[in-house]
Amino acid sequence: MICSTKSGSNWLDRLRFNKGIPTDDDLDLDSFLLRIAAHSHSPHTRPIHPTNNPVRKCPTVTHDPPLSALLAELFNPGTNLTLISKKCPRKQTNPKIFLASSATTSSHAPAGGDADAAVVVEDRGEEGDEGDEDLKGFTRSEVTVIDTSCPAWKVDKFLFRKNSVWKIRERKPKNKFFAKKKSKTSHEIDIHGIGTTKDNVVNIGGEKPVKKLKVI
Amino acid sequence: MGSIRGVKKRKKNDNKDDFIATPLYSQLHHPFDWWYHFSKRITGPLARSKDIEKFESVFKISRKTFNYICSLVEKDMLARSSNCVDLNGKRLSLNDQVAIALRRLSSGESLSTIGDSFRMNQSTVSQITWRFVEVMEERGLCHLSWPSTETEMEKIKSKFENIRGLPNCCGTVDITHIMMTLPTVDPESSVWLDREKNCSMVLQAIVDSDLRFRDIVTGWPGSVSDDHVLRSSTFFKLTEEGKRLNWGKKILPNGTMLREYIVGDTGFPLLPWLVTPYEGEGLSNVQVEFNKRVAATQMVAKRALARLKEMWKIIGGVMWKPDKHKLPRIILVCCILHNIVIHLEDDVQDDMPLCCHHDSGYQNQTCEYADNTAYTVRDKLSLYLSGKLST
Repeated sequence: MICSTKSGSNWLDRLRFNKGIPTDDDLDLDSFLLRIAAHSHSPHTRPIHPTNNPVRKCPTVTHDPPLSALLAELFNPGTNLTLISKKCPRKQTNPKIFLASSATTSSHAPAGGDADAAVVVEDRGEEGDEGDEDLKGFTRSEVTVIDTSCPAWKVDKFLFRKNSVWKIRERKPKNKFFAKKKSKTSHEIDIHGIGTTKDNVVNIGGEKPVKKLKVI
Repeated sequence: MGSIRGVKKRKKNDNKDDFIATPLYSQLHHPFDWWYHFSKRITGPLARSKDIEKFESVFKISRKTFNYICSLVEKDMLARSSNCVDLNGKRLSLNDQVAIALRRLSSGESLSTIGDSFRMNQSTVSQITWRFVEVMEERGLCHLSWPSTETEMEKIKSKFENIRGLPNCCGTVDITHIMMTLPTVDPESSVWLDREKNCSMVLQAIVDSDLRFRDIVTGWPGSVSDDHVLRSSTFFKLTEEGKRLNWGKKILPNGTMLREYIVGDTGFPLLPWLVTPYEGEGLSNVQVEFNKRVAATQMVAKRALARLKEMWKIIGGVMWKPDKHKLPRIILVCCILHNIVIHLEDDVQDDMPLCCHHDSGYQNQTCEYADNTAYTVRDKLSLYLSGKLST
């Protein structure tokens, strides 16, 4: 896996290759340094195309690729250096406090009194039914809705949201065997729900409890 | 077998200790009473609070209501009972467990605070509370239902008419937000952001004239509008199909048929069965007067929700990173407990302030949808109430 395309060459050769240094053994160092001075950037060292992300700008790369990218290329010769270099830093360079307003702006959530008119809600069927291809680009949230006028008063639903468009799907009920099997596993019951699993076993009309509670 | 015998023995002792119909202060402090011993075990700031020896000051319900709740959950709680013990290794009785769960729900204090107060591990508090919620939502749901008979509905209508004269009114609907904090890294956070920029879960309640919840819908994220919560509800579906609000009709003096309806604020659509106030400027005196009547009637729902949050503080404050699947169930159980207090005519209600602010900082939403027929009926109803409806 690590050695694929250039498995024949050793690490020093690959390093040289990536830096644009000739890999020949009879390297004329003086002529090479002169050539480097004349052409400050070799084609091998600039395969990077700065991204044009208006929301979150990555630092523009103007010099050699970072050492991490170089090492990655060194030990994963088959991978594309461009992809690695495009990766944004995990942490923001200028961290911003999460503000409700910024989140709402980006998601175009209704903010005014009459904004509801723009909200399109489509409520149909169960998740996995037809039309799931239309859900590309939607963010999915899972909710448990309680409606006391409904015989099955507790229903899990999926909310798909894209800007002001909402689509609602009912979650397929798990089969009984799976639910029971699942219930035998350890189950976090902290009422705060910190770090609890999203799987919520629905007790569909069950008289007897199917959950075996256990504090971890 | 040994453990089962032990459970039976404890159950017997619990029953012996119960004072079902005699909630007298002197009897509650009898050395044979469960509360006498339980109150002695309370430690920390709660133990130093005023009136600690008074049952109602700790649980916000009377002993009579407490005993009823114990009887309601007894079977299931004991069936699901595992080895719940306090820090001294003493096994917790049914009364102990119900008391701990009620304290958690009513005070909204953290698990660790409750654990410190009652000398037990916070995981035990969590386990007991969640078990209580699970049992209550099954056993107590009968306390939260739409009126099943026309006679029952007639009583409700009569009481509503006594408030500000609205005839044939069966209930009032309102929405409140259960606030919470969510991790900022949670990609779903924006879904839970409501229009006031708080993370919240919606609770829609239809309330009768005695402040009872008759229908609730909860679990929807705060960003969902009042209008949508209503339209997605089973109540909406049933009413549109003619299966709700379909009993007695009232005939106005000019022959207009007035069907049963509920009242709501401007966040709800104007429908043949949902009356909302007039909006806009330049309203006539008749319309202004009508709006006052509607607002006074809708105050019932606002008071019910305010009392709910005041009494069951776990949903009255801002919950810290709750499990969004468990929170609706906690809300449901708080609504059931609210109704039980009313059903049992608990005296603690008299001490509750009649506040109507349950969603401070939230402005009324505006729903522009209005049914044409409903316009006409509302006009005639307002004229009727002002005595100007010609025969």
